[in-house]
Amino acid sequence: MQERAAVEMALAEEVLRSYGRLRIMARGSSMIPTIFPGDILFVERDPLARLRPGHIVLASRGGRFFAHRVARLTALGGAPRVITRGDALCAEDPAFLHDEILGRVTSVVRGQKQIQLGVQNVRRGSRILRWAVRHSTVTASGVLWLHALRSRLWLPAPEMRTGIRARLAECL
Amino acid sequence: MSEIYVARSSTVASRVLEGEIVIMSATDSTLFSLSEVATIIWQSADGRTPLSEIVRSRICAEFDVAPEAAYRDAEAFIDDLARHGILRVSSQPIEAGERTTGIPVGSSPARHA
Amino acid sequence: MSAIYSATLPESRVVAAPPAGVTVEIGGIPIFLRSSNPEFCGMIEQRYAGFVNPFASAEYEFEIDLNPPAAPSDEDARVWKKDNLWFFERGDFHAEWDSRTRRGWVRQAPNPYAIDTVLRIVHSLVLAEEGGFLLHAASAIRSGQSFLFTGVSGAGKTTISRLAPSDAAVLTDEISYIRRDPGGYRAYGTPFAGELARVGENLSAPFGALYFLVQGPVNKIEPIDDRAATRALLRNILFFSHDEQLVKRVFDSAFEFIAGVTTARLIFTPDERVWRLIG
Repeated sequence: MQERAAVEMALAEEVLRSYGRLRIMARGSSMIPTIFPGDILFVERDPLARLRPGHIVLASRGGRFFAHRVARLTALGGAPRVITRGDALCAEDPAFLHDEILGRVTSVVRGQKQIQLGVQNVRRGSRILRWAVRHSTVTASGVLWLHALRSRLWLPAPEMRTGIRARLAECL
Repeated sequence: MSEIYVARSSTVASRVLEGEIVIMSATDSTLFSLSEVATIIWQSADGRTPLSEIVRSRICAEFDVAPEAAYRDAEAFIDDLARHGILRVSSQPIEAGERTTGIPVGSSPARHA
Repeated sequence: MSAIYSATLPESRVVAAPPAGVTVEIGGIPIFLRSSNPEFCGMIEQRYAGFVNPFASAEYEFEIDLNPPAAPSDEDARVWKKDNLWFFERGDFHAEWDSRTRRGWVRQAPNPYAIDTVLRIVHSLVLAEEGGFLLHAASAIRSGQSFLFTGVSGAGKTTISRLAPSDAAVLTDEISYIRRDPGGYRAYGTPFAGELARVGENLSAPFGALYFLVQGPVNKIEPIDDRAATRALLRNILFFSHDEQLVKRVFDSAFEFIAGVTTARLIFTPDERVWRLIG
């Protein structure tokens, strides 16, 4: 339901802005192989001045969340902006303004593993895979299929409990 | 039986959606959608009123439920909320200034359904 | 005409236009390059991509005046000081900088070479005050630490950078950046390209070790005494000025650095197994 999703997003944004930390679940495949659908993202509210290309940020636009990687920062012809792109996408996103950037994704939890995001992301190996995923639907599908296989080995999702609703964040 | 006191934590964000209260814990980002009974407990959690009093005067009075069953359910419910940093639970009355539950470092993955 | 007839729409807001220019942040030091020429700003943003940070509040500022003083030149820049004013000059640019106000200006042609030299000079001056320096060295981050490989041209800086494995992030193959803070020394990536002609990674890490490169028949780490290390280091520090005070400061920095960090001679053959010895 649209309104429900809007309220959940507003709560998530308030928690992040006021308390500095948020956990959301990723959907969508625009960031594979770095982030897979179902991954839990740890987001921290970091000063914008510490943002670097390569960081993955959580941004909000048009009623949706985006968790994409910073390609570059620019101030050409106007206000400072952040240009992002999904790892699996070829095109850059329209620029985000200062107050549309909510925070930085500092780690990803997949099943039992917590993956810190940082220097290791500049590994050449992962760069090559990211390039392949962007330029080949076969590679992208293969990576997703492998992930789906592996995720069956994890713990089953906890059952629905009364009074508690699912936390779902929309990522493009 | 000793009394239990409950108070709403200040490390939460909340909205009203179609008469329902939706709460997100700032501790671990879990979302709660409160049912009618849950809402009464939440709204009555002022830190001064014992839980038994809340159950007796506001829940049993409004709904047709046995007091012991209602109290057991309420205990389980506040326990759940407390674990996610949404309510503070104590055997003493809770002052307004003690409402923060803090944000744990390196906590386990959020449970979501 | 009375104020009630002014044509302001109710929705409009007066938004202060951000100053025209580009903030380039290297080594955690943001420098604002002020220019009203959009093509020049676009070229700077592209040249220093990854090091552009419009969100950083710049401590230093240069006004760029795009009127070349004379013909392009390959010679070394001359750097001198008069009272608190620094002068940087080469055939293709002239710059002045007040180290107290941290403001300066550059007169140059609209290409990146002049501003690149100005940035290297300014950074080396700022670093010198703190006990850091720019060094002819390749650097890489591995296991959360930075490793530097120094030597003269041809010693193998580019080679060892090319051999780096996928779990090492190469910061640069030519100009390394060492900054000193209360916690110790830290190496930063820079956009100053070497033969690899790749803008460096904008990363930094606490200092791990400094290796003096020697090409040889095996891969081996050998000790080096502090005196030899300091001499070799001084030969590779980038420094542009003969200002007595600053030169002395750089000498002191070099001595303190060698005394405070791990150094060794790295004898290596051009194959990737040398990286098993590092990190």
